[in-house]
Amino acid sequence: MKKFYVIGKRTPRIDAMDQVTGHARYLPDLERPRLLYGAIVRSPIPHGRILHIDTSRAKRVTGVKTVITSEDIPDTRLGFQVGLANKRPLTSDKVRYIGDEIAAVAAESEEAAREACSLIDAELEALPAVFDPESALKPGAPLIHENNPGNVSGDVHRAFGDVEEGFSGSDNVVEATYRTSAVAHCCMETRGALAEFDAQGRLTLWSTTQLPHVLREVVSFVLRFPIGKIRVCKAHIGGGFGSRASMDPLDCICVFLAQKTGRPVRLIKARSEELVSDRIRYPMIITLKTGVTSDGRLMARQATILTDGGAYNEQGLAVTGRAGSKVAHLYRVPHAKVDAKVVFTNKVWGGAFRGFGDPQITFAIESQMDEIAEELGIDPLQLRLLNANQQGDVTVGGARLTSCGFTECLKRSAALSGWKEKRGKSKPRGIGMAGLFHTGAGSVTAHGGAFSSAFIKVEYDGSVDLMTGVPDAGQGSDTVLAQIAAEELGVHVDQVRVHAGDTAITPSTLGVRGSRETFMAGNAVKMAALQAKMELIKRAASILNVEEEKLDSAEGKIYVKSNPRRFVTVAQAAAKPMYDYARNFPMGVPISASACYTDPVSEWPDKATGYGNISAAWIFGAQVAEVEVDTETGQVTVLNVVSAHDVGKAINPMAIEGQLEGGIAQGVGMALTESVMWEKGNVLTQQLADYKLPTALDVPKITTILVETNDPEGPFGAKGVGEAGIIPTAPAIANAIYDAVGVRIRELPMTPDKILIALRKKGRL
Amino acid sequence: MKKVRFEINGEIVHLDVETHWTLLQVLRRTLHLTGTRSGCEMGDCGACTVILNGRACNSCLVLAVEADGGSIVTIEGLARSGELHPIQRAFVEHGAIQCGFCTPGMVMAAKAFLDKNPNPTEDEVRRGLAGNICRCTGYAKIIEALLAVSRAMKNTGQEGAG
Repeated sequence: MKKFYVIGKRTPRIDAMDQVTGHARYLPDLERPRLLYGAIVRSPIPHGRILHIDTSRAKRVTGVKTVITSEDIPDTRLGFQVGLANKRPLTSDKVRYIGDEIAAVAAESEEAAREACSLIDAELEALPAVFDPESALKPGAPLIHENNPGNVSGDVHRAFGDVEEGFSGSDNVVEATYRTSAVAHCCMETRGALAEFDAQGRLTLWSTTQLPHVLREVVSFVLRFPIGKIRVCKAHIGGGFGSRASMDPLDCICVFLAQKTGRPVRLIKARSEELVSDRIRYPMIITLKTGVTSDGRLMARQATILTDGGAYNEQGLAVTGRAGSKVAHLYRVPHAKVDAKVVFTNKVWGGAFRGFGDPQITFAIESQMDEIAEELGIDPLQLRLLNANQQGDVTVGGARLTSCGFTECLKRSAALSGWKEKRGKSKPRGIGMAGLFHTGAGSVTAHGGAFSSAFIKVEYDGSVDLMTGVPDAGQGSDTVLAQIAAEELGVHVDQVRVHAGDTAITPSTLGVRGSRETFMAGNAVKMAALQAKMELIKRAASILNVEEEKLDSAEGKIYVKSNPRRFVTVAQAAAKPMYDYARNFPMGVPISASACYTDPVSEWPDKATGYGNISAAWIFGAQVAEVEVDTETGQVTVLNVVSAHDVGKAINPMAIEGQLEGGIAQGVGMALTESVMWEKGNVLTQQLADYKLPTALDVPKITTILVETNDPEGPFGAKGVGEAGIIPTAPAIANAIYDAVGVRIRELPMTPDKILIALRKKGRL
Repeated sequence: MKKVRFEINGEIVHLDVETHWTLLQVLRRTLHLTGTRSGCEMGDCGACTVILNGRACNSCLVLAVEADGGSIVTIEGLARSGELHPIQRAFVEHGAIQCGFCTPGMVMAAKAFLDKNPNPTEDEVRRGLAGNICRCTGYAKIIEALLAVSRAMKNTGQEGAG
């Protein structure tokens, strides 16, 4: 096996010095000469017709440079999927949720901008509103979009095999309904943008986006402005988790304000504004039915899903479809069927959020696995082992499992957590388990998801510039990609400079989405690095006067394999072009490489059935949570979590552990405390004091186990794991609560009131 | 406008501030010490934590005039002549940073905490950092970093991390 110099090492983030000293510049730290400050006026009512907007008082505020409404902008819609987009950046006819954008201001100071906002008089005619998807579907419910009768945004139907046959061959059928909540991403940096036009009319947009190239397309489409005149780039990004892979009107509004004033404009959401108006995890109502033989083999699974889409389209159908497909993937099941609807309501709309529907559906599937185990009298671990997906499987939904360590994850998490010793004992403590099945290479289905590109340039001092379209929002892709480039080229990590997420200098790439960066961008970087290495070796061969095949590179040197003490440094091989003339190198030709990786494995799903292998690799994992339930108060304390994950190959174990630990912490929040709460469409959780994020006191001790399966197509065998941690946490905790006190909570978050009510009901029975 | 005098990161500064300006606003806007982050402006997240007269505080909850005459340490003042403070070094080495937005506040809270309690248990560390939210790391590596600093201090017989 090849020796790795960089891969597999616990490498600190390459930007850690900037971050830990305060030097890192985030969007709010960017200054431009003559900078103006933007602010947005939002609807105070959940549903209404806009009769008139009077901006005259606002315009008279000292320092105000412009006030815009829908009349000042093109009649276009924004959204991740252009065909579904139905949100005007500033709404014109109707407001559809409390927080809907109706006007915007740019002023010399934040204070002036805010004052002007408070002086905009919007005359609105209130309409009846509807706040939950079940009511929205009822006949006579208020209609939110005139083009969507019945408030249905869209349907998803998937049918694999024949569920009727599967159920009729089952000995037991278990059915229940599970509900998940509206979780807010709560990136520590709120969403922001800074837009500036130059004298040639070209736009530079700094944004907190995870998808610079997609945002460039959206801005071009919404502003009716040529793509060649738009540069989207980033500052340091303070978190993403999918929120920045979803569209928000803020970027386009910022650009409109800059266009109107001819001056740079910075627009940043306040925390309460973000909690009212930014994307959330789509809440789902999932009715799940599973058929099983008496010895525990899954025979059929059927789900109906009702997704609360909120006021506008973003990625509700995609997220719901992805959740639905797991019904056919997670554990071996020969027949599966899904019927889902995404429904509009007068609330803020959802978007991508770490796991892309899988945390929701996995809560249902993995809760139900324990319910089945109980009914059959089988240990939940044994039931999972009996049905676990295996390498070489093709699921009934078409996922091809080229590497799969699911069984090992189940066994090792159970062993390390003391499953056997703790299960069913020492009440009110309990232990619970859940598995996961997720994309490990993103998905082909969105914006060129099947490819990724990279540029590499080797400088004459041996240092390397790596250009990637993938921005690091905290997940660590800059460091992992630098490691991949360094390993392949044979240089040290600290010789690699990463230039990421700038449409002016990086090749077009989808960005940060679906755990795709390590696999897709990693493969592109590896290809480009290999090209550059071959050129270095060619030059080194000429200097050393040996054949190219006899050379290899590592740790900054290009050496003769049979005699490593004969070498030239990478710097010598890449030597300054003006010196190269004497050595007969083409003068002035720098070493550069560009590569596009197209994965040969994934395929578009069948339009009618959804069948297909949409990701080049799949990841697996198993999590065991131990809890203690206070039966007086209903309070659940998570004592510890053991989580084993199939990561393919750990390029940076420290970074992977960090991704998993962070995901699990978010999973604890989703399980126990996190939910955006509304009263008649008004968000009650407008501050972090009310929206309960886990603190250091709430997150338990976490032990992670990395299982290496070496995916045949992954770079050095690696797969993406950015989303994995959060996916099984809530059901593992739900199953642990059941083990502790015998109540099955099927609605998230599992707050003390729900536990107490369930305990009381159980006491009565 | 009111005249105030601070010692910031060892330097004396004289400023004219509006009475409604917070210390956070003065640090970021007037002094361009942007390492102190604004996460919520309500005292909920801890991203704006600085050390004022030896105690960690949310600079968004302190009016600049209240800090008049005070001594303030921000993240920019922690490394001495290019040498990282041991807490900073431990954050880097233990992977206690992801997006990094909470990091300066977390480091300042950690410093104030370890100065008072140089030999904490894990539970005490968790309590000490409970006012600082991190959405990325799940706190595991932050706690690990702090316990490592504490152990190293004990081994070298250092009282407080300087």
